[in-house]
Amino acid sequence: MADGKDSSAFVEFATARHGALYRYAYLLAGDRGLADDLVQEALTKTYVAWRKLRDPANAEAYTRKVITNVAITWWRRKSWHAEQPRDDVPEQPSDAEDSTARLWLWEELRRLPPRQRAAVVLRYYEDLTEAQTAEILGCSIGTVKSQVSDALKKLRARLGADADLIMDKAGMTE
Amino acid sequence: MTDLLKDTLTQHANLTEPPGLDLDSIISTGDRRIRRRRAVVVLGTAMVTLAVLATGLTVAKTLGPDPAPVALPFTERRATYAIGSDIHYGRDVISIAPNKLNAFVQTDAGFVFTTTGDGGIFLADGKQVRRLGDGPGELGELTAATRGNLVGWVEGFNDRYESVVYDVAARRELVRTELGNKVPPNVSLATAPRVIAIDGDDAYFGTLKGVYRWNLKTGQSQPFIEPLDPRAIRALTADRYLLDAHPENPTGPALLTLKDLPGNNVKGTYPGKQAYLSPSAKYLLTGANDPQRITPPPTDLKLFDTTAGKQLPFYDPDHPRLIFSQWLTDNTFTAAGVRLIPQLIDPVPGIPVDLLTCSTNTLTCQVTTPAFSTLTFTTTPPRTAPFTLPIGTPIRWLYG
Repeated sequence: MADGKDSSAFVEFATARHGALYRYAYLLAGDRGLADDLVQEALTKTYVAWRKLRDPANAEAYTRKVITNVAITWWRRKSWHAEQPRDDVPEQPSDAEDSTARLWLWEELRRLPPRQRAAVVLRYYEDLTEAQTAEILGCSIGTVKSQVSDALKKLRARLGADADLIMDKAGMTE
Repeated sequence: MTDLLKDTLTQHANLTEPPGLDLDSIISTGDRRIRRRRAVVVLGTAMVTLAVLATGLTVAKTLGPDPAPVALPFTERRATYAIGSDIHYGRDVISIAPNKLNAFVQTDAGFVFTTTGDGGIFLADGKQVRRLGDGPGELGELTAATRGNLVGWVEGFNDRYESVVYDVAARRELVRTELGNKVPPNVSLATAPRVIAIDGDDAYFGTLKGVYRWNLKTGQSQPFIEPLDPRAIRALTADRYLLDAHPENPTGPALLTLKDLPGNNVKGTYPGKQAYLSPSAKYLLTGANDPQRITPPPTDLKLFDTTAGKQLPFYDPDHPRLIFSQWLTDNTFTAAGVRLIPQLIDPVPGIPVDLLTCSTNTLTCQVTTPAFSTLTFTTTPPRTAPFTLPIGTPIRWLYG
């Protein structure tokens, strides 16, 4: 890649941000193995492009963008409607507050199309603005709005009779 | 959308523990991709020719057109030292374990080193350690170009020595020649061959029959301007060199003559037996040999501006004796400083040494790593210090 100084900076960046990037990838993929592969691939691409990035802030945005795009590409290749990974056994026991609503919501989130799911994760987990989300997804702000709106409608529809209760708890009103 | 959706995502994210980060795999895969890209870029332009010259055993591989600029690690020079299996490169530590480092130099592609016990010559690039060849042995010397990826050494055989120049980035020998190095009967070991310098397109081989200048692009060689003892040229950088008129006498007259190439014009004379030219040859450090024959010597380094031909008032009050390490830039160099202990004249076992960064602007030194080692020596030959600097040789005490 670059010189020793750059190499050290990349190692520092990767070490510091690996956990956050992995959690983001996990929310996109819903599977720990896939998330690990996503982060590995994304960090490799970041390493190759490191000299053009320089600023660690740019590196993080770039890496998230790569994770998102690679995830979407992989999902398309594997056909999103094919069997999806199930990797929802938590490594730590859930507390008593882990309600049915959360489990249902998690299951339904996993069934969203990749771009919609990415938009939801970026907006409501990463707390990014619509503009920042659009930057990572490589689309317009309008597209982000429609992706999120469509995702919420699907969640509401799939949750069926329990939707009202869950939506109320989640504040999922448009 | 608010609480429950965010809580659900956060909870699942927090419940999953990230696996270990496999940086080695990321970096090695990334490097392979970078190399493939470069290979596409340079394909069709790279030219490698082999020429077997009349000397028979001499093989030269011309450099050909320079490939597209490539970014390699270690282009930056930092305050560096090594102890045991660890090379301390600024704040980074590069391990060569289980090998024990004997001597090392820096190239833009990594550190080239020999190991204790004549184990060969290796490259440590921060990711892996790679064997380059047999190398010069434990007592041999490594010579690196001031910048770039070339390193030279001499390998000894029963009937000859061979001078070698190796391109670390290209992973190939550019030169291997026994020119001037067939061993005659009763040869003096005091004049052991060495690669004196690699400067620009030329390598300078100090051989048993004098000094030769070898052009790395054409593979042609010619005797140096005058027949010389391999030890006579104390430094050669940027087409300037320093000549010791009495190399056979380490405690003899300490006078160095600065000359230029190719005219061999005298540019000045300076006191000292040791010489260290800055990359552009603008600055010169000189020092005397150590009376107790520690080599390279801890010495009172004197700084000169070769353009003006005058001495500069360089002085470090806390470290009266310095072992030169390397020039970081044309204005900055590093050294190991033997701490001042007023009541002691000569070094004693256990005296601490500091790693220093010195400036031709401020004319003094700052401590970079305090007490990183001590000036002590093993009690049996080859009597080496516990630390070494990127100078191509171990620090040794020649008196037992």
